[in-house]
Amino acid sequence: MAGIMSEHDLRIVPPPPRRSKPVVPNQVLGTIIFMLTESMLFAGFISAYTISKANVPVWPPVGQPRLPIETTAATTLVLLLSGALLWYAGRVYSKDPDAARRPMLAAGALGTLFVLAQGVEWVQLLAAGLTVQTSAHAGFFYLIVGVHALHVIGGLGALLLQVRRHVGGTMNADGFWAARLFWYFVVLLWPVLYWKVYL
Amino acid sequence: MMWLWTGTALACAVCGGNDTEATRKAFIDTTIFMSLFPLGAMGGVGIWIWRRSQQVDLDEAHPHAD
Repeated sequence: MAGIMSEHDLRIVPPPPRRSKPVVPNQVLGTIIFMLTESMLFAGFISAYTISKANVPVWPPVGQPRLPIETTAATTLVLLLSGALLWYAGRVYSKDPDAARRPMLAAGALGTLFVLAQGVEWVQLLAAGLTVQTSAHAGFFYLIVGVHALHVIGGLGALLLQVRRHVGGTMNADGFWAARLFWYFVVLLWPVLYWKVYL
Repeated sequence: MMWLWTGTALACAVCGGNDTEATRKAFIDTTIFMSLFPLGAMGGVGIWIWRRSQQVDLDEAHPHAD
């Protein structure tokens, strides 16, 4: 009957998408948002630490074990090298995905070495009597370095997942990009923490 | 707060701080940092996404251009 519109006539056809691919993949965007929130967490830690430091005339307080500046400088280089290797893996992945596996594994191995070195450092400091309750300095040290170490472990987990997917042939560029991005975050954050906490 | 949760109150970096020039400077510096850092970070991400969208549009308009 004329004048009555059927359901078919009322259907709204969405316009075709303007772009065939997203500007920023969801996994990458989610990682960026997470990195921003975690940056604020560390910014809060650093701010509180800076004010605590300004409250006392001598920092670190007298009579406490010194932090191992030289050893940690070496492990900082290990972590930076790990980031450089993963950056290289990202570069070669676009041209030859198979060639990315070796630098990915090397980056993961160096990241693991960094976490183990931090663990050894903590054991030595605890044995020397520096505990969370010793002072505000010690408390901040374990809090800031410990939370960063948790992020490194999380980044290693993401990296390991990508290696597993690479071996299984199911790794996608977006997931690898997100894992790399998070690793760059933990790698580049560490020299800032080292400068503020150790030096 | 000091009476109920002494440990928590003392853990605060600002509570019980000395009223010295160094503390005041640290407080002002960190306030400026904590105010500007999120704006800078979000602005940086926004600019990066905008530039990337321009690049994606350009790539799709000229798919075979290197």
